[in-house]
Amino acid sequence: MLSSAAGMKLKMSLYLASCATALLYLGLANAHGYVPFASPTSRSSDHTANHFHK
Amino acid sequence: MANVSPPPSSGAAVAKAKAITCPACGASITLRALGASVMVVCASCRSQIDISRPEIQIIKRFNAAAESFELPLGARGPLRGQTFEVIGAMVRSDQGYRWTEYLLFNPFIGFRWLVEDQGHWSLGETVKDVSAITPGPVGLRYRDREYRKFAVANPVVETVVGEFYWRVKVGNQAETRDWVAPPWMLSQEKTRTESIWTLLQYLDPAEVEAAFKITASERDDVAPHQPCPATQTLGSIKPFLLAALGLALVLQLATVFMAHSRTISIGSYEPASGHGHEVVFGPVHLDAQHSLNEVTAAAPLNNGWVELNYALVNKATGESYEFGNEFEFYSGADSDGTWTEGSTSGSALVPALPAGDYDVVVDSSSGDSNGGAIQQPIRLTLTHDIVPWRNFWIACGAILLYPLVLTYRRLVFERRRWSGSAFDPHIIRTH
Repeated sequence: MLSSAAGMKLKMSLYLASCATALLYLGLANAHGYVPFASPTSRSSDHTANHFHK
Repeated sequence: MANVSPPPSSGAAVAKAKAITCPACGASITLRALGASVMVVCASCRSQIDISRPEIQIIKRFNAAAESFELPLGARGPLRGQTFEVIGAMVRSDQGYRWTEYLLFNPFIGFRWLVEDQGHWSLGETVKDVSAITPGPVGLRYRDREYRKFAVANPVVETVVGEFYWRVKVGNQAETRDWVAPPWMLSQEKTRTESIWTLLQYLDPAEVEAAFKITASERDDVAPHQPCPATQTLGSIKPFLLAALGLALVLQLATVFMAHSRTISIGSYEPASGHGHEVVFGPVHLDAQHSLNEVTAAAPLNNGWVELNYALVNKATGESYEFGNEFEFYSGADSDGTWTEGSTSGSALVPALPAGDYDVVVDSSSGDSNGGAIQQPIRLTLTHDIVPWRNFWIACGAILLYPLVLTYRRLVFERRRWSGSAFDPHIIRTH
């Protein structure tokens, strides 16, 4: 069983880690132009002129 | 507390101990605050003995078996940096609700109260600067704290053992009023002749257990002045919360500042020739290194639908990014009047596009009320490098999630606390 001081320290550390993760996500996602729930996009390197009716 | 007289001001002058023999049962009684105490209750037979005069006299015989207390008389332990000895104990009750009050003594600092109530412990001290207790916006103000009224009771002394600095006996009754500002409680005790104020501080049961080497009973429910754990955690993480929100805002403002947010007209697409009509537009130049883009299609539709398939083809690498969107718009009239449904435009977000020149390949299927493809041209635009606000809100949500959970827990805790009070501030009363 953790003491109340150790428990508080653990909670603060976990919260700090979650804040850091959120900020890291924001920075990286913005820098790469990524957003979740965007239009489903498929990526292909085999393009032909008649793109959709190969 | 059950004292109807203020305690002697200095313990140093009364730091004498003496053993006497109970005149009722012959048991040895150690007087620990001789000179300050005026009466003692024999722990063996519970007879009340007057010790205020040299000739010891029985005030009242009481032969019932002494009740066992969690803290025995004579137990010593350190609380808040001072060693105290238990010299008296009493059980009080109000309408069947019982609690225990221990009188502690330290010859150098005097008397304190240790109160045990449903497994919750508090250390109390008589308030000497009573004039500092003033009416406040929510109840009382004392030493820069606002106290809310919590309870009014008329407790009766049920059991008493040990020595006291006033004459206490079973059946003594007083009127008590409690105000709380966790972890503090102000308690007023009134009789016909006197009014005594006590300031109590909530103690962690583990502190009492460690001090007196006991195993305290489990806590039951929430004490009136028990500090809320969620409130304490919220206070601790608040600097991180504010710093993280501030940093998120700075990051987002930097993104806004650097974003190109440029609208490019792709062209006008004619879907009239039916399904499978593929048209290549462009090229369009995307200059941001990695960007979020929005492709919008709009047409003056009426009672029709459009489904568009796109491919953004990088002219340098041949890589293509395929996606789609659709929109529909209907209107009409019925007995309720005219109505419309849908939209005459639709858009798609295309994330993480590398910089370069892109051909825009468009294909469509559509339909109108005549069963054929729509006749109206579809105007296509691309907004390059738009600001991704969605990421900002997700980050803020992640940062705020734990504080919101704690806020909810605090709400539940406070509801539980005040459910035992007739003065619940969360209840709006009508008169």
